[in-house]
Amino acid sequence: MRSLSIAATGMLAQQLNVETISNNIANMNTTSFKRQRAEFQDLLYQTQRRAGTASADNGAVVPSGIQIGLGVKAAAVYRVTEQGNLTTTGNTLDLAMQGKGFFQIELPSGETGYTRAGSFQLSADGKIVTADGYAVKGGGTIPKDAIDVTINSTGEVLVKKSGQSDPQRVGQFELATFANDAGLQALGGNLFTQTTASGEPVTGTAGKAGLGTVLQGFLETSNVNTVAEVTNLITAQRAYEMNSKVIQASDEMLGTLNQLR
Amino acid sequence: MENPSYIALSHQMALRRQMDVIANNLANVSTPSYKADRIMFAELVAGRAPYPASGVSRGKLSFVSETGMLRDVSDGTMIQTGNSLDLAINGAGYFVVETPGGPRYTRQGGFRLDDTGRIVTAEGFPLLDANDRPISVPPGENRIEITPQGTITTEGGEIGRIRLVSFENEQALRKLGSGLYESEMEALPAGPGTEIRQGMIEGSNVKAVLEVTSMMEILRRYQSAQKMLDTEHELQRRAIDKLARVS
Repeated sequence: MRSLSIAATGMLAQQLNVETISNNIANMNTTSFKRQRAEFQDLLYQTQRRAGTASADNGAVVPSGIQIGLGVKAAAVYRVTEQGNLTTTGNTLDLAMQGKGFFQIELPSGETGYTRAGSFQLSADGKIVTADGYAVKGGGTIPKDAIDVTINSTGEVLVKKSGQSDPQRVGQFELATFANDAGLQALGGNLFTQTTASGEPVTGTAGKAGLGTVLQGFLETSNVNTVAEVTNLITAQRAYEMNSKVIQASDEMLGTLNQLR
Repeated sequence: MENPSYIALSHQMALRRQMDVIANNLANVSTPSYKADRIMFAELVAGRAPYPASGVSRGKLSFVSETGMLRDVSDGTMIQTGNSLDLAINGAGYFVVETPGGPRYTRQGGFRLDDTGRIVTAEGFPLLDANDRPISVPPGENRIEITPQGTITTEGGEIGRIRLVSFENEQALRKLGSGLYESEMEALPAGPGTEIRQGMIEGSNVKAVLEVTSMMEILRRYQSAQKMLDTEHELQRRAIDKLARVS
């Protein structure tokens, strides 16, 4: 019976849906987390009777054939790159990106990682690093005797030493954008890497064409909408149940068949 | 003598086919812009030769046979996503996408940008504009606005107009899976009542309650057909029993 395997594809799809939703809810407080959405598409169709074929010699044709669908498949788990809210933290090295763009991170492997989670810290040698200790490109070195660090909207790092009246520029963040943000591969730890789907990074400084601006003392919250997620969860659970009902009914039909004497 | 069994069998086969269609509808209950299918059955009448001695008619037999599918082409529920490339069509109409096999039609409007900035489907097929060309968003421009008539503008101005088509007979479109349809019919420009809604996705139009209730109905009908088969079987068994005793 086809309906058994069709309903199984439905249950698998809804399971993926629940997994995606649960990951979204689990990350509702993750800095700059972008919610994901499972997208489904109908599977192949088996044609039992083709529309347009002749049904009689007088030229009559079958107006609509018989096509039996074989279920559902997951097409993509799409990342919705909508801007998250900004929350004030007052922390000198908390940077939020308003608009498009990613900070570039030097990964230990030598590759470049991309992140929007700007909760940075200082390393022992004065570098601006992520929570995992990876250096942020263009951050420069903060001298030990600095009393104040200012990061302006274009990502310039300005340092004020005691006794100096003018802050000095020690670096400027180089940001990157992609033609297709959703095509980036997530590495976990709020990091992404480029793929062929995302396209090559276009680098530049904040505020330039197409790039967002940097806000010091703010963090971008996750863009998860909990109300929407919970309602999606309910729908997914019910859809799962309905598909399992189809399996039950198909099973009962097969059971009836087995009672044939 | 076996006719009741064959008739019950044709009924059961039809019910299984119907079950497959319902299973597919329910599996696609959260597939964007999925249109529910319904299978149609007709009576297949077979005449029988009259009794040879008297010439009296022996009546006709009716079997079940499926004749075609009917697609519910009503709009699905609109789901707000806020994503600027999620487009839903309000009213009768289809987007045109370029596939290796030629133009295909879809209502699944969860578009995205590919690595070259073109607007594509989840499978990477480019969306076509009114001149049948893919639409590209210039690099660095990210404020995409789409009017209900399909004109796309960014910071730099207009970049294209989405082609929306409709068909004389929507039922004759063939489903290809992945939300795509194909047709030999000529694609006509969509009527003025058809509009694009940006930031929305058209949900599946499967009515779950309806599907589940007809599923239960099918199950019971299947069981009653089985009852008929059992009765017929019992009848034949007894007949053989009795006839054997006489001789």
